[in-house]
Amino acid sequence: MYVPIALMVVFSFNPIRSLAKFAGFSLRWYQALMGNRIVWEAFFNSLWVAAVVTLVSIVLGLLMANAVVRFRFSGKPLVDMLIYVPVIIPEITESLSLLMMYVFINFPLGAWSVIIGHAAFSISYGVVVLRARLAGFDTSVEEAAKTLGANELQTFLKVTMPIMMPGILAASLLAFTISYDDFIKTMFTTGPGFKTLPLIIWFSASKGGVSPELNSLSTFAISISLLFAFARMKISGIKW
Amino acid sequence: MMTEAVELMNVTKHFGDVIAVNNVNLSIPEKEFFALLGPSGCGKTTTMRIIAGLEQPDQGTVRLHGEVVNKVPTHKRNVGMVFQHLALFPHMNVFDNVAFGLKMQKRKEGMKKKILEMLAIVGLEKLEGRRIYQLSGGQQQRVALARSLVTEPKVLLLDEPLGALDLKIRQYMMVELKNIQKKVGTTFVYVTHDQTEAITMADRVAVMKDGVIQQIGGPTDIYLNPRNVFIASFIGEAVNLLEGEYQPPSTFIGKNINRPIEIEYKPEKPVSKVALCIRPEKVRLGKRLESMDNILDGEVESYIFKGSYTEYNINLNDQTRLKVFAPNTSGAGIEYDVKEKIQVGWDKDAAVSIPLE
Repeated sequence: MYVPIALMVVFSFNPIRSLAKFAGFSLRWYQALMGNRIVWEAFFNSLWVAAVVTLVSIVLGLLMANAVVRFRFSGKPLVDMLIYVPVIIPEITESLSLLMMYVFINFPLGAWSVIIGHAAFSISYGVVVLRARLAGFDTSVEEAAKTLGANELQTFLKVTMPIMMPGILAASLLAFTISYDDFIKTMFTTGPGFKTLPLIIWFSASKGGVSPELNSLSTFAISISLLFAFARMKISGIKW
Repeated sequence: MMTEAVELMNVTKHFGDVIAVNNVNLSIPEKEFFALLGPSGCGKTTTMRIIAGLEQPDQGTVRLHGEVVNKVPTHKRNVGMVFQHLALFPHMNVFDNVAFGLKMQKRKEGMKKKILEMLAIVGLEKLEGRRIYQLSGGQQQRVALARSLVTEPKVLLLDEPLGALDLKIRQYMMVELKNIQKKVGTTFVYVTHDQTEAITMADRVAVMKDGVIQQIGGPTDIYLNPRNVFIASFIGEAVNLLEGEYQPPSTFIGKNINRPIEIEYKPEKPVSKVALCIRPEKVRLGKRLESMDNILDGEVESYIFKGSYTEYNINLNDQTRLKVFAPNTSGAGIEYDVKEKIQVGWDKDAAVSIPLE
């Protein structure tokens, strides 16, 4: 599985257009990439969409995880199941139905329709990560804070949040990577003029086959993803 | 009139169908070391959580220093609490743990001095920079104590704080806690299932069972004059309980015991069935006992050497056995062997009669 990726990375540094031979190291395609306004725009679109999706997933994910772990209410098994469903059902089904709903309620397609679509399933991932962390949380630590004079908000900010932080960071990175890498859902729910990095890659690949620019673009995209994956492992305490 | 630090009036709390706390009335004066003692599930922890405001009572009034606090949230009650599993903040060091309360209550003036003084009181000098996981169990215990005392709470609640420590440190901490309480002069409400802890430290003890307070009194009072059979067997290392009939004015006819036993008893209302409660250390053993109010014949069934004393099981007849703690004062160690014929004896004021039913 790593062989094609390695090939792609290697050929992104090839100065000539051929995939048959490697003619020395060059940053030519990267320079071309730097000058490409469309690519830059798509990259920033990807980043800010992923950032908003992460924020939404963490805030809602925390609330949801909190409700599921700490409270008993009727219909809890159903809610439990509904949280996992978006993780399991095929993304394409989910995307198609979401598009149908957008059309049905006349929701303008563009950045926000993409964000809602991404958030709809990254919340689930967020809840799964956060609830595991929350389940092992000793609530008497929060009670201790209250007996020392902290109100609900102070308790949350000074005690619950810091203790939850590794879980929150792990969930954030997961949500961010999922949104940043997503293609299917973005494809279905985006509107004219709004493109993210994966869409740009696909469009140029579908037009002109595999070009060196595309290689360098993909290498760039991968290195961003790897960066986040690395950060996640660091935070989860995985040693190299 | 002196105000009571804590007052509970007719406090009741249900969890679903279970009554955790059943019509509890308590009044704890200032500066008292008060223990709530009972087996697990007796409602003692719930009672304490109601005082802290971490649980709301279904009925009844909670007063702290005369003020009704039923509607006051925990963080405004100024009640300190030491939790069973300590509940220290794992993401802070010792100093920040202790500083938390003062910061929350915006009392930053002279904070550093107060904290260092408090750490000195609990015996943690120079450890303020340590992380929590770098401390031993006993040290963590002291951090929890310092954290809850530094804000000078009106009342300090302690929920089985010594449960996680091993015996030696626990015994040491018992003495320490009592000293610290005297030093700071705070009212302590100490919840425990360990009667030794309660008897050793508390000025007064409330024994709880099934959500009901069975008896409140000083440790000696509770030990010497248990009001019912439950208290008699719950308090103290061991107890002999003989069932029988009371014949006024001062005779006890024990089931399966062939001679009347002389007792001291002034029942509040006429009773016939009573249990005679005799502590094992109050019974004397001897080959030929004289000049005691009650002397019975028996036979040594078994014994266990316990160091400072020997625990004998004396067979009075095939239905009745008596446990006797004989102090090992002589050099001989075990004085009587199994199957040896022996006499047991006690004076009438050494036994307590408890009405049954």
